[in-house]
Amino acid sequence: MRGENELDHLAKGETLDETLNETFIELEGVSLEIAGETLLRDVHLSVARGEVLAIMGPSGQGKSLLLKILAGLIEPSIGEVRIEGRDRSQMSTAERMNWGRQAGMLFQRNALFDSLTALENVNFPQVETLGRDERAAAAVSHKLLAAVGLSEAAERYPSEISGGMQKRLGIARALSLAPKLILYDDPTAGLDPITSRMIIRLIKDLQERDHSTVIVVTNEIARAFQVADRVGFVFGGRLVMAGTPDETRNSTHPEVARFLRGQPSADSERRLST
Amino acid sequence: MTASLIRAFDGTFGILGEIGGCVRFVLKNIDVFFRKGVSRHEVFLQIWKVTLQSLPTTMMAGFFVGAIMTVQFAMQVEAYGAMGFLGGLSTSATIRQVGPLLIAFMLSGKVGAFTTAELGTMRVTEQIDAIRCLGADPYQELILPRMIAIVASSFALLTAGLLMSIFGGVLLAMGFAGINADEYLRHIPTIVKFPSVATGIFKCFIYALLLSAICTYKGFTADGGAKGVGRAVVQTAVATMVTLVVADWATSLVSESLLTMLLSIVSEMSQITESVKAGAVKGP
Repeated sequence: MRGENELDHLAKGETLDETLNETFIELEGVSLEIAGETLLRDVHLSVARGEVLAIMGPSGQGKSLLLKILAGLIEPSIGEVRIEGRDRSQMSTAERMNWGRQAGMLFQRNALFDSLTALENVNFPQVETLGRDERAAAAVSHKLLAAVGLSEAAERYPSEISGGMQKRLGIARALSLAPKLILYDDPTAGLDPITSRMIIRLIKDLQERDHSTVIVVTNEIARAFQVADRVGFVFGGRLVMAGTPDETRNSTHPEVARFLRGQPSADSERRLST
Repeated sequence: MTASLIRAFDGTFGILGEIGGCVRFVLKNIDVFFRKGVSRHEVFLQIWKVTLQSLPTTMMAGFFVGAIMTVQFAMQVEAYGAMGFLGGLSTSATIRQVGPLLIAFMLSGKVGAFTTAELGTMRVTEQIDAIRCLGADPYQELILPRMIAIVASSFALLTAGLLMSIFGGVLLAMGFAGINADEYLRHIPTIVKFPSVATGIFKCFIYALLLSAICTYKGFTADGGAKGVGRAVVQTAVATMVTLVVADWATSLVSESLLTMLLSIVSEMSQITESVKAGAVKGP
């Protein structure tokens, strides 16, 4: 289920490693200010096609906002978001809509449509966005539900399935438009360790199958190091580093080192004491 | 003193900001309607839901309004020995004034609160963000069908409420005023003419439009979790009640002025037609 553009690259004789070197999405000096408060500051980030990037950091530091900017749900106050070298703010409405179809997202609280069954949730984007008829959409949806192990739950509503199943349903829905970029916002939040491991494994398996670009916000340190090509750290609205797992492990940045040792940051200690 | 003034100033600007936001929201919906259209299936589904939700209460309220109007008018027309006009007067007052306002209040209490809560929940659980992220338009998918459905349903509910008010009026007239159904109904067509019906429809349309705009806007912009949704529902209830009362004054003024103007034009035209006819008869 590789994206057509990606297949074109490989058909021209490029290897997968070469395509991995291509920049797919970039943030250039991105800052975000909401109601007079600066929530993200001067973020520079470049993600290659087919790369898996894990973003880590304490809660409330701007990781989810960063994902929403990448998904196009929020526009930065300052800075540029470039997709395949093109500034997103300069794109036409049609181009932006098209971009929306190429970025799938799993939300922190899943954001499943609670009035629709699991099958209808996965059908929705195909029918409403691609204009597929119900039968064709259902055929694709059944395959996606099988891929995430939810064939049995197709006719059940989100409220009737467990938290782990809801996450998997969210993943199936995010994949329903065969996106080039998939954003996972804390996919293991609130799940037990076994289900968390299963979800992280599923994300990696699907990425290897589709060769999609993946950005995942997670605080599962060990798992993130296993599956990610690079790991980024966000503190106080700044992306303080983004490097390979080895570079991250050996980082001398005090906040990164503290986080990896499981020690609270100076800021969080101050917040706890007040 | 200064703090109170600042609070009053902030409050005034807050309300103006909300009105501006709501107007921009409606304009955005109009733009989406003309650029992308709206799913007929979703509109009919919403009309069905809105009508079913409000029909029983509207009919019940209509019945009692008809009865109340009959009691009120009976006491006044009895003094002039004009009980024959009771049905016409009561029905005219219901269709021109009480009916549209009653329907709007009913819709506000049931559908307005429900719509705000539904959309607000979708907002705080990121379902609206999910719709955008999946390449669909939440205005087209969620807002427009609900706005159109509220306006369309209000006409059906007005008709149902009005029929029930006549029924309630007849029953009360028979029991309270001692006149029979024939007598009550006979003068309805002579008093309830086009201007009364047009005024009722005009008011009903304006109220439903305002209600649909407020309840969808408050739901769409809700934030702050469950507490935020609760706050949005309360704000919808307060804002719609205040807006409907102000709109009632404004629409009464506009519709009466328009009708007076329209009637004077019609009267002048009929005079001209008659004088032309008279001239043609005299002829050379």
